[in-house]
Amino acid sequence: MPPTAAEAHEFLEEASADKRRRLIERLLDDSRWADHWTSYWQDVLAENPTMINASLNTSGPFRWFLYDSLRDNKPLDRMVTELILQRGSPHEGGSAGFGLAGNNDAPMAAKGQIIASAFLGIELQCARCHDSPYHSTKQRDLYALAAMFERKPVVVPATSRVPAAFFEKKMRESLIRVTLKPNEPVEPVWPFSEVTGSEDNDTLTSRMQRADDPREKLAALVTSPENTRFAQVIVNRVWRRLLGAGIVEPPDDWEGRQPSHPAMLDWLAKEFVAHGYDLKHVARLIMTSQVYQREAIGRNRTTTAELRFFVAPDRRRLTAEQIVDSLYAAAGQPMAVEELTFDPDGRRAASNRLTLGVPQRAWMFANLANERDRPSLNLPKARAVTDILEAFGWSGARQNPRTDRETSPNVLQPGVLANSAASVWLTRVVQDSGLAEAALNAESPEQLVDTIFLSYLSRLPSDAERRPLASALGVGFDERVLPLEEMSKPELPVPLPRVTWSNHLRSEANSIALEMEERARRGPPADPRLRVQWREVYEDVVWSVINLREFVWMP
Amino acid sequence: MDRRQFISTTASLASAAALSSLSRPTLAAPLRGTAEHVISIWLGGGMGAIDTFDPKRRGDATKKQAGSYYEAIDTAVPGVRVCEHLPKLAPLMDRVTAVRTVNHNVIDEHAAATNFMHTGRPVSGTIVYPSVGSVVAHERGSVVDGAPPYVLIGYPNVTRGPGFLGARDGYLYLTDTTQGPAGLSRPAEITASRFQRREAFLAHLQAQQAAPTDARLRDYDEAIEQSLKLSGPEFNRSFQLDEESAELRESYGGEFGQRCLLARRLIQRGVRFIEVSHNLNFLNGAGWDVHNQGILQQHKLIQELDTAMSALIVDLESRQLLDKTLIVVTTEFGRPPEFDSGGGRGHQGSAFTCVLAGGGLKHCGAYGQTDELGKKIVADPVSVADFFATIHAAVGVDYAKNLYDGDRPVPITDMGEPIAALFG
Repeated sequence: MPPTAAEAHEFLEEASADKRRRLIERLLDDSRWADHWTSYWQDVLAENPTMINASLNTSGPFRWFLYDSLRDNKPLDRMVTELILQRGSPHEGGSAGFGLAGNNDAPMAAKGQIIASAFLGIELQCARCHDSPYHSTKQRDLYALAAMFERKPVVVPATSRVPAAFFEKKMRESLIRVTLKPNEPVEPVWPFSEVTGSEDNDTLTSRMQRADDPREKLAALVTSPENTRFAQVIVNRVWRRLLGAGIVEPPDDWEGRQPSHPAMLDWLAKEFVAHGYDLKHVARLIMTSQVYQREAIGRNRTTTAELRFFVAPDRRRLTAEQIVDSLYAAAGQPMAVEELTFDPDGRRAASNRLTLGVPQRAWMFANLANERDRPSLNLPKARAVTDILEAFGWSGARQNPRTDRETSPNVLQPGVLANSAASVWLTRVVQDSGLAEAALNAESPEQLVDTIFLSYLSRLPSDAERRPLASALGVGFDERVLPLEEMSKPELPVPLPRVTWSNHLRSEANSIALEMEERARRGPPADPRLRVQWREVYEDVVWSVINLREFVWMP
Repeated sequence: MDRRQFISTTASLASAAALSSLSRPTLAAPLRGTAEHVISIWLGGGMGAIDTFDPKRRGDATKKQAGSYYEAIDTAVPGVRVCEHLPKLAPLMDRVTAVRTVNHNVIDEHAAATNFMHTGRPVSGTIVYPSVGSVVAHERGSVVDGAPPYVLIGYPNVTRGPGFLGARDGYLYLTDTTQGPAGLSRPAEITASRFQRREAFLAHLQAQQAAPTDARLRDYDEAIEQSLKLSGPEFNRSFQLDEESAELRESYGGEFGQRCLLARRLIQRGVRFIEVSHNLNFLNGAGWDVHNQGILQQHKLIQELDTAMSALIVDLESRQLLDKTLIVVTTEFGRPPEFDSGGGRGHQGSAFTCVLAGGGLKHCGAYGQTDELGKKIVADPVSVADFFATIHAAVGVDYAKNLYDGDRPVPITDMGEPIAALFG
C-alpha cells in the first residue's frame, strides 16, 4: 500500500541524511507489513479455503493464523512449529486448517511436499508417485514426512502408485524408479539430516515437550538451530522478495544449485538465528544496504549464479494485492464488497459453508466459485475486485504451493485497470472519499495534480506532465463546488433481502441477484458537492494516471 | 468395483498414461477431423440422460417408479428417440450424436465432477491440469490474429482455466451478453468523448516518460496498446447482438440462446474455443441439479436447450459454418432413473450422455447403448478420456501428444482414443 500524499510529500521534502533509515524503521513497525507477507505465505503454503464443500485440495482458512503471527512478529521458528503442529480450529483460522486437503487421499504427503519446498528448498512433487527422476529424493522421503505428520507408519495410497504394467511393457530404460515395495509401511523417520544438518538425537528431544511425538519432532527438526538449511531458505526468500532475485535460485528447489554469494547467505542466516528468527531483523539488514537502495535496474533473476552480482535490485511489478490495496488507498474508499459467504445466516456448519468475512485488504479475498454456477450465489462486488487480482496473477484457488506467480504482461492487466467495474468505482470521485476531499480542499489545479501524483505514484509530476492536466482542471475550477441549494443528495438504494444457502433456489433469489449485479456495475454514487462536468475531467485525469505503466511497475 | 477401486484404477491409468507415452511406439497416424472451432455448452448441475437424449420407459415420480419423466419422440434418425421436450432438435439429429455411454465415478461433489469434465481426468495431488478449452487454445491458438483464442460465457473458475499451461492459454469471460468481456469492454457510463479525453491525457503522460530499456516494460506498454485496441469498437462489435435480425434473435430464445448466438458471432470473429454455460437457474431454481422439487420445472430447461441448440445448428449450417464448428454438450454427471424422496433425482456416473454436433463428424444420432433404464452400459462405453480425445481429434489436435509441466510429461488425455465411427 502506498504512502498517503502527505507522507510522500513529507519524505520528499525532508533533507536529513538519515531519513531513509527512519522511514524503514517506521514501515517495519507498520501493520501493513503483515498484510504484505500474509499473501506471500498463502501462496507458498497453498492456503486454499473454499466457501463450499471441500474439494480440489482445499485447506482451512489458516490465513488468520498467518496474519496474526506476522502482525505479532512471532519468531519464524515458532510460527513454523505451530503450523506443523496444526493447532486450533481447522475451519475458523487456526493452523489446523493447514492440515486439511480436500479430494486428496494422502493429505499429509501433500503437506510434506509443501513444508519441504517452503522451508527446506527440497522439491518432492515427483516423489508422490515415484523416486524423482531429476533429483536425489525418493518416494520414501516424502512418505516419511507424511508418517511424521500422521504420527504413525504410512503406506503409499494406490492412487499414487505407478502400475506394475508400466515397468513390464516399457520399450527402453525408464527415467523413473520406484524403490518402495508395494504396501511397505514407511516409518516416521526424518529423511533429511544430511542436507539440513538437523539430526534426531538427544539434544533435539531434550528441547521437545513430548519426545515421543513424531509430529512435534518434525517441527523441532525443521526449526532447530542446527538446521542451517531452514535459516538459509528463509533469508533467501526475504532477500529475493526485496531484491527480485535470490542468492539461490529457485528458492523452493535448491538441489544442485549454487548460491551466488555463499558467505553473505551464511552471514544473513546466522544473523537471523542469532536474533531469534526475527524476519524484521533480516529485512532491516537488507533494506538499509546499499544494494537495496539503488535504482532498480538489475537483471539478476535471469542470469546464472556466477554472473549474479546484485549491482542493483531487479525491477519489480506491484503484486496483484498491492495494486488493489493501492487503488483503494489512493482513492480513499473503503473496500465495500459483500461478505464472503454463501450462508450468511450461518445455518450450515463451517466445515462445508465457510464464512470469510468482509475483506479489508486484498489478501482476504478467496475463491468465489460456488461450483454449481448459480447466479443467485454470485457476489458481484467481490467478483469485480477479484477480476483485477486474477489479471495480475493472484488466484484464490491455490491447489499447489507456489513461490512464483506469472508476471508476464497480458492484455487483461491494462484492460481491468482501464475498463473493469472495479476500476470504474475506483476512479470515481465517490461521496466522502479521499479523492472528493482532495478536490474540495485543493488550493489550485496545479496543487490537485500534485496530490494525485503523490497519492498514486509517490512522486511529484514534472512541469511538462503537470501543465496540460492542470489547465484542463483549471476550466471551471473556481466554480467546482456546487452551492448548497443546487446540490441533490444521492438516493440510497433500497436494502435487498439477504440471499442465503437455504433460500437461494427460490426465484426471488435470482431477481435479487440480478439487482445486486446491476448495483455492483453502477458502483457507489459520486460526491454531490462537485459540479458534474468538472468532476468528470478530474476523474479522467485520475484514470490516466492509474493506466500509466508506472502505476504497476517500479520506475 | 467400488468407488475407491474405481478411482484408484482410473488414477493408475492416468499415471500409466503419463509414463507410458514417454516410450509410446509410433502408431498409425492419429485420427484428425476438420473442425476449426468448438462451442462447448456446459449444463451445470448434471443433465439426466433419461429425461433428455436417452429416454427409457416412463416412470412415475409420485409412486417412486423408476423411469423417464417424459414421453419420447422419434427423430430424423430411425431408431433414435429423444424426450418430447426436444422437438426442435429431433428433426436435426442426423447432424448430432448423443454419446450415451460416457461414464466416471466422481459423483459426490459437483466441484470434483466439474473439474473431471473440464480437464478429462481425476484431480491430482501435485499438478493443476488445463481445461479442454485451454488445451485447444494452447495447441491451435486463435483463428485470426488479434482475436482471443478462448472465451467463456459464464462464471470464471479454476476448473475452466489453463492450469500449468499458464495465463496465455486462459479465457476471457463475460456473464452478461449485453456487455463485452470483463476488462475488455468499455463501461457503458463512460461516454465516447470522455474516453477520448482519457486517452489524450494518457498519451500525454506516456510521451513524457523515457523509453523503457527493460524488455518487460516494453511488453507491458505493448499490452496496454493491445488492450486499448481490443476494448475499442472493432472487437466489441462482436458483442452487439442487436446487429442481428430480430427474427434470428428470437429463434435462439432467452438469455441462454443469446449466449449461443454470441458464440456464433465470436466464431466468425476468429475465436477458437467458446464455453457457453447454461447456468441460469431462473427457470427451475436448481438448474440441472434436479434433486427434489427441482425436477418440476425441468422441462423448461430442456426446452430452452432445445430452442437454443437447434437455432445454433440451423444458423451455423446456413452460413456454411456447421462443418467447421464442433458443438459439444457436457455436464458433471447424469441422473439415475429412480426418484429421490422429494420426487427429483440424485447423481449417476455409471452411464450418462454428452452430445456432439456438427464439426464435420459422421453423425449417427446416438452412439453407445445403455440398459433398459440407462443405469448400465450395454455396448460401446466411452470413457471421459475417449470423449475428450474425440473433441481434440475433431478440431485437429493430436490427442496422443504430451504437454509439459516443466520436466514432467502430461499426455493431453489419459490414453483416450476417439470414437472412430465418427471419423472418415
